[in-house]
Amino acid sequence: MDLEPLFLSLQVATLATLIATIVGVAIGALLATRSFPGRDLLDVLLTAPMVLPPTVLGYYVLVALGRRSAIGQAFEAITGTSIVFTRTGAVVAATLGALPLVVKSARAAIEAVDPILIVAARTLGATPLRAFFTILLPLASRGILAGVMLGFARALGDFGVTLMVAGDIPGETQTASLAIYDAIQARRDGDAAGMIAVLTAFAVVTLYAVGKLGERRRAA
Amino acid sequence: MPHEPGLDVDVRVARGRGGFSLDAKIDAPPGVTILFGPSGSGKSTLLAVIAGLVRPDTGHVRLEGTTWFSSSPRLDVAIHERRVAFVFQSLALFPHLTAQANVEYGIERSVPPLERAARARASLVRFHAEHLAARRPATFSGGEGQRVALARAFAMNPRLVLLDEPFSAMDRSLRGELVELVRTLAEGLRVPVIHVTHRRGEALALGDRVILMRDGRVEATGDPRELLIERGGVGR
Repeated sequence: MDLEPLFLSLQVATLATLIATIVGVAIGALLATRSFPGRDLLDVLLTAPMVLPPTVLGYYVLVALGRRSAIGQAFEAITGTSIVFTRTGAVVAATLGALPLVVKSARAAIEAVDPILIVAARTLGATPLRAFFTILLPLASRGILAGVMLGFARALGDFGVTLMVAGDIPGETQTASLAIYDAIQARRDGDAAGMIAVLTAFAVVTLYAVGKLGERRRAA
Repeated sequence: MPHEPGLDVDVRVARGRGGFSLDAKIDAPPGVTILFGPSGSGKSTLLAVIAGLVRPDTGHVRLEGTTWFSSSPRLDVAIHERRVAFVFQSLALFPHLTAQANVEYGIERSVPPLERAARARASLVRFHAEHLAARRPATFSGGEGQRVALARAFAMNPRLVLLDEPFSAMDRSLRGELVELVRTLAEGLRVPVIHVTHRRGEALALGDRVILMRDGRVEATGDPRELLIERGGVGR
């Protein structure tokens, strides 16, 4: 079994999950604790990647971050490489897959924390930031962790958006999902089997762990 | 600028269209002031306004000449800068922290960790809760939780103490003991303590003065004995 696509997938998914966690928890906290104009719209936009066809989502990313876009050109001017059809593109695609799961879990977990605890922390001298990091985040951590794990599993398995945005370049952007597709197309079922087993096992273990986290959260 | 010692509050909080859910003017010198009145009379809203949790529409909140809130000129001091020890009815103990860590949470960050730990421990001892130090709130009885919440409030060197029915889940003997302790601590700190209660006995035992509230307004202010016994007062 060629392990390179698997390692690439792990690398891309780890980076994507890291980004999705930081951005997703911040946005989840914002949605859970603040009321502002456009909150519902932001929620819809962040959930959209879960239901949009990957080709449609991929198209939007190409338009927004492609070599002719303002962001794409700025990125290329600074780093010398483009976002699309590189590993960066694969990370962007995987991040979009993980982000809605992290945002939704973080929002629900933060909303479940009794607001009086934050008020109490503030009266005890905590700045909003200290109250967030010492009270809100620890109490919401299990829910957030469950979302992060689901996000990682989702990022690890992304296919459609990655194909549209990063292409299928062996050794560069060919993640495990893409390599499986290629192997099956080329009737190299044996090559695909190992990766299929690893991805399946990973998904099952993740779902089991997330379920356990949920049980402990309800018991707490 | 000369000023009255203690707390000086004169606020209005609008209730939707027309009318006020709170329209109250009170002052509270150092010592225990009881807020007494039926539920829905605005006692809890008044505490929330004083602590900065609810922003009044007009008026002012001042402590010892320092303005915490003023509608004109506009001023609203952040909650965490007011140093108000607030014991909530629900106690609001942090469930993921031990009693010791709960009490330490309110002690200024500038205090070295060892001293902070010692101060928290001393406060727990004062409220007969030292045996709970390493335990988390989920394992406390109602009365134990209240003692830890009081220990947390008094450990932070507050400028003002707000107590929202903190003795409700305690048995009679313990309540008597803690009422006395809160009174002593309040005298030692020389800060105003505002204590919401429905219990006439508690009000009589603790209060230097009482403020009767009804429908978001102050109905009467004066000596607890005179207002709660001679005039009959309200509540139990």
